[in-house]
Amino acid sequence: MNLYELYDAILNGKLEKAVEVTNQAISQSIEPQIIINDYMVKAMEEIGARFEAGSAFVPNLLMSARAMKGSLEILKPLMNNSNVTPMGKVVVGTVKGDLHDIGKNLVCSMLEGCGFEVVNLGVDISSEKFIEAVKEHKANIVCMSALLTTTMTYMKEVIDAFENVGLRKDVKIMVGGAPLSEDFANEIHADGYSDNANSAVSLAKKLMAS
Amino acid sequence: MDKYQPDYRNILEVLYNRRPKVLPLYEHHIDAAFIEKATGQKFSDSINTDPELYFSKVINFWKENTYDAFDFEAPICEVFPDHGAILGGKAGPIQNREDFDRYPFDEIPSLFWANATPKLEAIRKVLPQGMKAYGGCGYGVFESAQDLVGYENLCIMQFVDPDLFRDLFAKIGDLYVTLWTKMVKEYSDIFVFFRMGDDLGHRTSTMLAPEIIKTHILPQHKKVVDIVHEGGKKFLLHSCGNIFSVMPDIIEMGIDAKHSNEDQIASYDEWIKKYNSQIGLFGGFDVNILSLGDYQSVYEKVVKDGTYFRGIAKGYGLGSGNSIPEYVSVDAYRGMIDAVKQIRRNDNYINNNK
Ligand code: B12
Repeated sequence: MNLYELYDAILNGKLEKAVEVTNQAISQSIEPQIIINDYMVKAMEEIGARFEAGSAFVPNLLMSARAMKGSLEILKPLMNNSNVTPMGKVVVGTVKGDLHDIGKNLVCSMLEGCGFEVVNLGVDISSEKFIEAVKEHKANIVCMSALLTTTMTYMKEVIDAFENVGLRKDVKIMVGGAPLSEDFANEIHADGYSDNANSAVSLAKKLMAS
Repeated sequence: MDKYQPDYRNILEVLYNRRPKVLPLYEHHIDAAFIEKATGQKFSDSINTDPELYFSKVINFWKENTYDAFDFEAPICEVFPDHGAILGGKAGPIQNREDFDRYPFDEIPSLFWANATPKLEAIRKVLPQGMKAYGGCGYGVFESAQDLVGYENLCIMQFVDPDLFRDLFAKIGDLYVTLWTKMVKEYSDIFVFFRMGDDLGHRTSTMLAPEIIKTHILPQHKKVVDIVHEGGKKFLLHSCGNIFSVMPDIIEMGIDAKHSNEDQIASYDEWIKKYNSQIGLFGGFDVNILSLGDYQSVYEKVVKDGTYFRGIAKGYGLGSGNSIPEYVSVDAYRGMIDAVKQIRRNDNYINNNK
């Protein structure tokens, strides 16, 4: 069988094809780790890179993520007894007062597609909720999204709140959203900023390694 | 300086892409909550119970702040049965062909007019001399599609049911023709020009692929542009985000002016240099500046950059890159308004001493 068909199916957002090839791969006892890391994640990385370069669009990312999810669902039951370990655990939310969720959901899809375990808290998330979620899920990274000037300043409050409860050094904090900039991220002492869902993944990997 | 006399013919010059005598102010919208915050008067509850009171308060605020015209859009999405998917967090009422066939599109015009008529009539009654509204039917074609399906599901529909995706946009286009035809026919007296808002972009790109926007959305926009032009009026498009890849096609479909800009996407003079030879432009000042800045910093920036924009542009009206939501600082907003008054005084001085 040709596992490159799986890569192509995910890259081109073909759910049925991705599921079909994944089933074939399972029936031939190919290790889930190989299927995921060498083909599925690679396809997500490629579609992410195309999105960042402006040659793919949000709908393409969503279709790829949908195909990836379809395949992952079949592989999940087999993963307990294999040595697939998530890249890290990430808690993601749009901050308090802000309802913009499209970009945040894309960041979730890309992180998930590239091997992170993601807890998507939704929109309008207060500092208390972020902290609670980090404690509950023992997360390594917090991703905050904000699309409004006011809510972007709230990010600083969340970072301060992590400081106040003594958890700041236990988590890496990434921020993003349309009105933000690298400078702003530095100003509020976030650990990282990126302006798109693809570079969010490389940033998360870098932070996990640091 | 004498009290400012609004003159809608002044702002209209921008739509003809000519340099107005007096630098006009423009906003896509000023939230009622912001007006309440700035004036200390509560009135927003009266929109349905006493629309004349509501619009007198709103229009008076625009007038006091030296605008020639103010925004009013009668919302389309808000009368859609089971509306709200555009806000995220839920799927819209149309997810498949069956939902589409069943959806009560035919009832929408009557729902729309039941909501819009009292407001339009109230505006007609309270319009001050020299002022008119701009706007018309609220929400764009793409926004209606997002409200009926949900953005993410619409993206999926594009691939898994392309026929439904095509038919949906065509159906929305037909609905827009019905609503806009009546709007232009019956309310042209209260609008100085018409405007549609349809956010087609985000920070780094368009919300759908440019080819999809050109094939499915712009032809519907063009129907509205044509209705407006046939009614003898000018058309302004408000569209947020990075839409440079479709701007040539948008200009080609006949818009007279464009609004919305964000500094993280492009500096405003880029908009002027790229497009102002063909269309009028509004905006210039990112919402970030008006939310984070204080009176003095905003005043100085707007005098400096505003004078520059007015200097290099033909048709140009100054304002925020988007709108004045509740969270904009009242001081910073006043800084912008006072700066425009200063630019006008400077212009006067130069003209009088020529
Ligand atoms: C669509 C949209 C809406 C929709 C939201 C629908 C939804 N379900 O999310 C609706 C119509 C509801 C809406 C409402 C409002 N909006 Co709005 N909206 C937009 C618009 C056009 C696109 C946003 C979007 O979806 N982008 C698509 C995604 C893919 O991009 P993204 O969000 O930027 O995310 C990418 C990156 O930023 C990054 N990223 C995002 N989050 C994160 C997080 C991390 C950790 C990382 C690393 C990266 C990352 O990766 C993503 C993928 O590449 C923007 C314009 C713009 N330039 O973004 C305005 C915009 C954000 N809105 C704006 C405004 C003013 C409003 C309103 C206040 C309007 C009003 N007066 O009511 C309300 C506020 C509602 C609220 N309380 O939240 C302004 C904000 C200005 C400011 N500086 O404050 C903008 C910038 C428009 C403008 N021209 O100025 N809006």
